[in-house]
Amino acid sequence: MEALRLAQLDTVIHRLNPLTKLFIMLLYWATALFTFNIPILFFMSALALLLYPIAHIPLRILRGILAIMAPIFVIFIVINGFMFYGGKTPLFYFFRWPFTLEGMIFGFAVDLKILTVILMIPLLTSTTTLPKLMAGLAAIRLPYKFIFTFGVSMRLVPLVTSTYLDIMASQRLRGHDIAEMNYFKKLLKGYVPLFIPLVLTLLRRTADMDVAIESRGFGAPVKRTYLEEIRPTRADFVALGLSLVVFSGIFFYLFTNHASQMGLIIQFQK
Amino acid sequence: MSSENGYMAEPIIKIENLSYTYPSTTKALTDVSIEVYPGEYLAIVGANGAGKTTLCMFLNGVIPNVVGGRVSGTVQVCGMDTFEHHVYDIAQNVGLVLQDPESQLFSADVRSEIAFAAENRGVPREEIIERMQEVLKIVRLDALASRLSDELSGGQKQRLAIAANLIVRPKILVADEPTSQLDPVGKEEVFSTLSSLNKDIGMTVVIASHDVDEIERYADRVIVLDHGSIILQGPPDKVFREVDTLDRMFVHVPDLARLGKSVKLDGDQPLSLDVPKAAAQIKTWLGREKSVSGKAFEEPSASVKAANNDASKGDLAVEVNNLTYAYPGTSAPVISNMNFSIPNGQFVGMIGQNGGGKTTIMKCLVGLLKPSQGEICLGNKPLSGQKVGDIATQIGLILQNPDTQLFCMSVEEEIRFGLENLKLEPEEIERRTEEALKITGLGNYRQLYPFKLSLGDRRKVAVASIVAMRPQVLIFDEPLTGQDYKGRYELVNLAAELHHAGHTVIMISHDMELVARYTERTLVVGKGQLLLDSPTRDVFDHVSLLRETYIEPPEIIRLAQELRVCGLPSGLLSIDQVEEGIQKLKKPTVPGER
Repeated sequence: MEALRLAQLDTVIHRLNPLTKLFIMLLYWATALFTFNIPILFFMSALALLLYPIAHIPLRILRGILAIMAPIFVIFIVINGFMFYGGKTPLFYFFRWPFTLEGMIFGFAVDLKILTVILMIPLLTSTTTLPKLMAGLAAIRLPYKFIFTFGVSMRLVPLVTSTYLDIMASQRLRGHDIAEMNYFKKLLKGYVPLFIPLVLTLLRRTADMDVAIESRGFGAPVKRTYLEEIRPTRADFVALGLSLVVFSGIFFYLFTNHASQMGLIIQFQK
Repeated sequence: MSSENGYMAEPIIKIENLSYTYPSTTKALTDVSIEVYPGEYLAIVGANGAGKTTLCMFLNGVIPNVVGGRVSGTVQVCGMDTFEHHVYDIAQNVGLVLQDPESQLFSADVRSEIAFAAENRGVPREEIIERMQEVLKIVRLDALASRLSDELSGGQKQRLAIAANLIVRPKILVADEPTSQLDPVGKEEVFSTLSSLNKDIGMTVVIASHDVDEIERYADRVIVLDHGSIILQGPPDKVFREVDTLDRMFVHVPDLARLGKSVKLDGDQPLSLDVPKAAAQIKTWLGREKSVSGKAFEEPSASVKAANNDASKGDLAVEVNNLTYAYPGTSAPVISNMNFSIPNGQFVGMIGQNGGGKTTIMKCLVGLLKPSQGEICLGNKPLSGQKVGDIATQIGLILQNPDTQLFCMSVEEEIRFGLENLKLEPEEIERRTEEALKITGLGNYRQLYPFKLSLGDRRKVAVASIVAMRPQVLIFDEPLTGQDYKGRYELVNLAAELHHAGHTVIMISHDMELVARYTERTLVVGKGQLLLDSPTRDVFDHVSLLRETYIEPPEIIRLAQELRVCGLPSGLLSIDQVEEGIQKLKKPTVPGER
């Protein structure tokens, strides 16, 4: 819901063509997925975070995602610390298994890679209204049924959330408080009283939605038009130009400095 | 061609001998024939399950094109056979507004929601923008055009749904119970919008609704459906006088129509269904057109303190001191510095506009929200520090929508669920389940899957599952939403029985007639404040204050206020009381007696 509200703002990033933002995001993701180089990943994260205040995106928007990802980040570091194939410098032993410095740094690089990818998402989703994004996807000739399904799914997110919260409240009133259950009790008994009413309520609501969609002429055999206009402006060319310069620089650095390796490990091995 | 209503044109809707059975084998319509003329405002009334929604779905071809089933007869709309055309073709002529404001809006913001139907029809972008300005003005949403759909109130959402249909300039607008989930403000917004579409643009409007007062005011013709058949049709003034037939069909009858049945005016003239006209007729009949034997109705000054003093006499079930609540991340409190107390055994109504703070108060009372400031005591025991599950054994909240809690395979399992969470002994669980089934009259349905029951009975299951936990205080949050005439009385009668059995009952409702009939005290909440706390017999005299929260006293009370000048006593709340008062005034006076 907050992302939808932020997308209504008007900043230089909001005004960019959704396709420009989509292209830059894909370029950014490809670069982040390509490299394990920690300084580069730090640089890219910093770059994304620098754009947050320009787009008026509060950092708290990341709080929820990071809270979910934090245990996963720890697990990656632990697993790689013990199992990284290139581990040479043991930091400590768990029974007979060494936890290595290289493995730990590799785990950290994987975490940083995921974090870098995540940081870019709000720069698209919180600066582009859904109709603009849908019109952008239509401009690159994606099938409209796919685009519409995507749009309705996005619309359903706040609806599902509010329904879930209502259900949780009504079950708490009968003494069923999932927040007070331990992990196993939650799995065994906690979710059934929440998910069954959720599914049944959503089934009814989506049936109503289906009637409303049909009643507004969806699927008429005419060439669809779009309210949102998708035309590149000078700002788009500037943004694309700057991105190409930055990412060319990154790739130049990577290819001349052992592209797929972790910058810090190279120094350890010297 | 001319209809009995005087319309000189070919019918825009022509339904002949329509019968329909759903794929689930439920028979919904039987031999229905209707003609609707261009520019007509037609209302369809009937109990839940009478066939209103099914009939609406036929008008834009959703049945049988999207929902299958067995059909016979014909439906012609704007000259199109709806069985032979796709819904997207019919949608060009017929707009459809549904009951639930949430599920018929599927775009993120107002502009894209309105544009959707026009985009689907391939209307050029510039023309969409032009039409959008036009429809935003018609539905009076022009100031909210840049909002997200989720930021709108219920009434605004329904007006948005209307605008989303108007963008393709349909000839007919069909609305299926568009106000059943709205507060009085939203209801008035929707009805006045539909009325201006009908009167100013000449659009044909077909509306299914339980709101007979508004239908009486706006509609040209009413059709009464019962078990899928047309029982009555004609102008509202004629149809609503068939009180006995409507009672049999469980259709709400306007107060004045019911009163008109027992107050026989001179020359058998019918009592007008309009309050000022009816008051004038009765004054003439009483021979007191210029009478000053009584005291003319005067609005009293609002007093919160007086009822609080009353309340403090008994043992307190609920005590609220300086209650303030602000939602996390917001600075302005939704409710601020609220004080009231409710003695054991009272039946209290809580009324006020949506967004005024009623639901927030209730959530604080049951522990779902923790007050930002202030204290709540239940039976002199502070609420703070108690778990929601423990609070539920002292105060039970029956929510608007029973479907948010039902998940078990049978009614009795549903009742047992809360008791098992309380970790009671099996014998005690069994005893309480039996008791709750008996109180709610659900004994015959104990083994049934709750979703097989009607909405009214599902609400009773929700009541049973809360009552079984034996809370002293019961809160009914909007128990009448989506209910027909029969369903609403069944549930409120159940609340009244629980009150007689010793429970303290708080009923949040927009239905002033039921608040007037059942509650002894009423709290008026608005703008996060307790605006008025008064015995119900007096609360409706505060007309200006109620109007601030968009509440209008029921028709019968407004009539009684107008007749006070003739000597009708104050504090009359029901049709029976008013009728008795009028008959007493009519009695010939004994010489020498004033």
